[in-house]
Amino acid sequence: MSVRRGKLIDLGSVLSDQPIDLFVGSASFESRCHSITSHLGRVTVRNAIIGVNRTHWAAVEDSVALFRGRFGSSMVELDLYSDDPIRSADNMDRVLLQRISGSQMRIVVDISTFTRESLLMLVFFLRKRLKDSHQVTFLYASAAEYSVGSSESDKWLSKGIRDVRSVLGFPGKMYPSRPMHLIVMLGFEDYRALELIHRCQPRFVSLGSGDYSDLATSPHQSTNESRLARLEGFLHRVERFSFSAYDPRLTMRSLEQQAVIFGDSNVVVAPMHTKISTLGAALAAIRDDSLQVCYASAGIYNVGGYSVPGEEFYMFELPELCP
Amino acid sequence: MNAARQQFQNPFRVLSPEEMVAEDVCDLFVEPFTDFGKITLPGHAMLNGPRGSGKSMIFRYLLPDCQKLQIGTSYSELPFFAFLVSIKNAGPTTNLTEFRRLSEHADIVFNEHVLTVFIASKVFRYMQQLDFAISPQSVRDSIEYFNTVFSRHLALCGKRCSAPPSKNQASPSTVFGHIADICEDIFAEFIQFTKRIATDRLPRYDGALCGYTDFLFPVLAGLRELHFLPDRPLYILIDDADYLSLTQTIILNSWISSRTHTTVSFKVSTQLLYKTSATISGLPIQSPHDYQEISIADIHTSRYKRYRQRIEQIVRKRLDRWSKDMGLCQDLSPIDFFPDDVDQERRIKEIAGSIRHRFESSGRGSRVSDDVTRYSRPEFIRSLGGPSKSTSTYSYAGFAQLVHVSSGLVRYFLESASQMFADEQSRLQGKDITSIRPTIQNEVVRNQANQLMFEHFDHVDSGVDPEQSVGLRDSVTIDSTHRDMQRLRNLIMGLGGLFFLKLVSSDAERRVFSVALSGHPTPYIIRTFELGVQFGYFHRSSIGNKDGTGRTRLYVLTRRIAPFFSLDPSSFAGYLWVTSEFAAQLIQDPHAVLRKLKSSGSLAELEVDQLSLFDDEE
Repeated sequence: MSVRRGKLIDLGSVLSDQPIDLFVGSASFESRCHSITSHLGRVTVRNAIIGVNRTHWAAVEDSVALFRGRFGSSMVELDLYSDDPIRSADNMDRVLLQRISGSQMRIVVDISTFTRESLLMLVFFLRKRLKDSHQVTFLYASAAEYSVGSSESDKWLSKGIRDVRSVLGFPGKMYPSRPMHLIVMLGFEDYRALELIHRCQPRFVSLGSGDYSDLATSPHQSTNESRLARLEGFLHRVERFSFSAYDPRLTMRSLEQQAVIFGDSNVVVAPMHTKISTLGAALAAIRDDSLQVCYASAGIYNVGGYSVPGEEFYMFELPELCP
Repeated sequence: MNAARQQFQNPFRVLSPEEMVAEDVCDLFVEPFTDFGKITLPGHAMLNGPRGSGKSMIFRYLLPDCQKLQIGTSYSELPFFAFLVSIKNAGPTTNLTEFRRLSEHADIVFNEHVLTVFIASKVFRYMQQLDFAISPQSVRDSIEYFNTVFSRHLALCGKRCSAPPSKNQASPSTVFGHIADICEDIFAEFIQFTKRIATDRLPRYDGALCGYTDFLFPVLAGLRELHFLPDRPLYILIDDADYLSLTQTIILNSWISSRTHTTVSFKVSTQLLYKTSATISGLPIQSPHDYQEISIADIHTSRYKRYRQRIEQIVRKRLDRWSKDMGLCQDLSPIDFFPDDVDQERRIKEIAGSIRHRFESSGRGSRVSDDVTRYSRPEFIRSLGGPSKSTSTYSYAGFAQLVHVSSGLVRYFLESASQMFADEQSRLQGKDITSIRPTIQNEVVRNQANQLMFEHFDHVDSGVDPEQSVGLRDSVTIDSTHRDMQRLRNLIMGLGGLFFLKLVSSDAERRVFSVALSGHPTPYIIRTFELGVQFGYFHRSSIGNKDGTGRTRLYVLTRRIAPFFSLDPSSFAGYLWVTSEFAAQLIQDPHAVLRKLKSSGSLAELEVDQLSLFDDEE
């Protein structure tokens, strides 16, 4: 099934009236976290799991209250911790075990506002729990604008890097004597990417940008190009490539091609673009378990102007997660 | 264009020493300090210095391929034999998130296994790559080493391994390659185990468990029996050990505390963020009892002449190499390549002449040369700040100033020079470069100073630290890291502004770049300064306290930031005594303090001393 793109106001009709047995989403300081749930229309949600970042409680508190009001007692809060991935993973495993049964289920996952690390771990644990009797739909609500109020060249979503770590469930196959090949899927955050590269000191670097043939990516082409050029100025021996920012399978294929260009190396993928392309990185690492996926936790987020909700959604299924 | 020419198209490009061939390393290496030889002696050592101080280059230079070239001998005649283990780019390999789960299991045992096998893999892969001669004896020796040393000790650690290549197909390289493959397989096996612990808290582990005393040490010591290696100490060069996890750091310290240094010495480099000195037994390792401590930062920041000479040698070597590789017949001197702003220097000389002229009537120092050094450049900067308000037009061009601005770190000089060279190259459009014009030099160092201030601090007002955003929407509780950064910014803004006020004042000592803390500074003041040290804004040293009863902390502001505040970067000499209360005021509201100092005229009351530490200043 390919990726379906549509207007959020049409989401309710696109999703048919069949009840959703389990809705999985995440509270966030971005109001976009409610874009999907507020457009479900008449579709009933029987159970909901909502990710709550306890490390950022003050930033997500209001959003959690809105979700509580929407789902009431059918909602379970999934406690996540930015600084403790093991604790987050244990909670995720436990909550999914409680809520996903072996019987037929319709599951909808809103990936819009999970952190990339949480989203990747969610994929890992979903894959552990899902069966072919489960029908899983992934939804992503677009943003109309990022880094609200900044000029194109000054846009930023987060700054600095606190910690670089492999994502639990995606350690790859690392060989001590092989050189590192870091594949950076670059979004707006070129300075963070540079810091990541400085921290990792890879022998080889691949710098990827969103494919400009994607309608949603093309408006950012000039900004992305100048950011890539700026990064290249600081580095030598860099390979450029492009990937789809809005189709996870296409993203996966681009990454698979890019992973082999330097021969034997420890390949580490750093998704720093859309959440959909982050899923693409997960798919690539599931298909080739020698790939490691890493996460660079942010120093700070642009909480005040991270994004403005858009009017569109993206919808797709990933049967590869239901073995 | 061949690879070497491409590499040296920009002579100042900072290359990763690990990727440089031995010939280039020997060509470009300049001994960083006169007692450099100490690090080549047997014994554990810690080489401490910030990023860019040349630690990795030192380690690269100690590797056998460079030593062989440098000394002009065979591997077996080398005085020591070193192996490099870089930790910085090993994070994804040695520090997987799944490893955090190990704290619930046998944390020390598993982490020691990881570290041991990681180092062994690196050692044997490096051995595979060395060009050992193939002879019946070298083949026999290698196979015997495999059977009697490596294989035997591995079996004792719970792993049987496949036989080495047969004698007909074997060479030292194939045997060591085979050993490296075995080590990597053991490593991969452990990674598979960690995948299981991602979801299963109590999986069974049946693989090998290797440690230092039962595996790594005997296996390394056995290498000395090979006739093509020297029967001399082996050095394991652990580069950027700050990147080890806490548990792995404790394990490395325990290895250092074991008395094996006559056979195997650990030379450990750190970026001043080494996590702990603790060992498994709980007792810390201490210098000089367990290891020798060498601080590169102290060596460079306190001895300007030596540092300048070193930079001059480095630049000269790079220019020579570039000139040769590009087929140019130019003898370029560093001073000519980075010329001064001629007009500015002429005007400063005029001021110097005037100071000389007035010395008899109004001189302040004991010698005319002291007054010229002390006042001519500050007077010039002050003149720019007059009615025209143009202190920002002060030029930082010129080799001597650029050396000062690099603040004791070779990397900073080279990074700036590399940028200047690229800018000059793009303006000349293919013509040969014989020097970097002063405007470009000045632009680059000014931009870098601005970045240094803005990059770390621009988020302080606009963003939120996600780790502890407890008080995101209100001011009840601001998270500690965010608050610390605000304090640090205020402190730097306050000190930079204060040093500028001193520079353009009429005080006797105007060139101040450091502060000494008097009294008993509170923990949060120390914490703010130390955060600055960590981020490279300050260099920490010590000085005799005012009572003469001990020593107190001295913090030197990085001179990389001089252009941001229009300071004279050669201002080593003076330091201000700062009380805890005054530092607290600067941290609280630097602009209010500076306004008050300006309006009250009390600047001269701040006590300034001279540093004998920097006695070799020009």
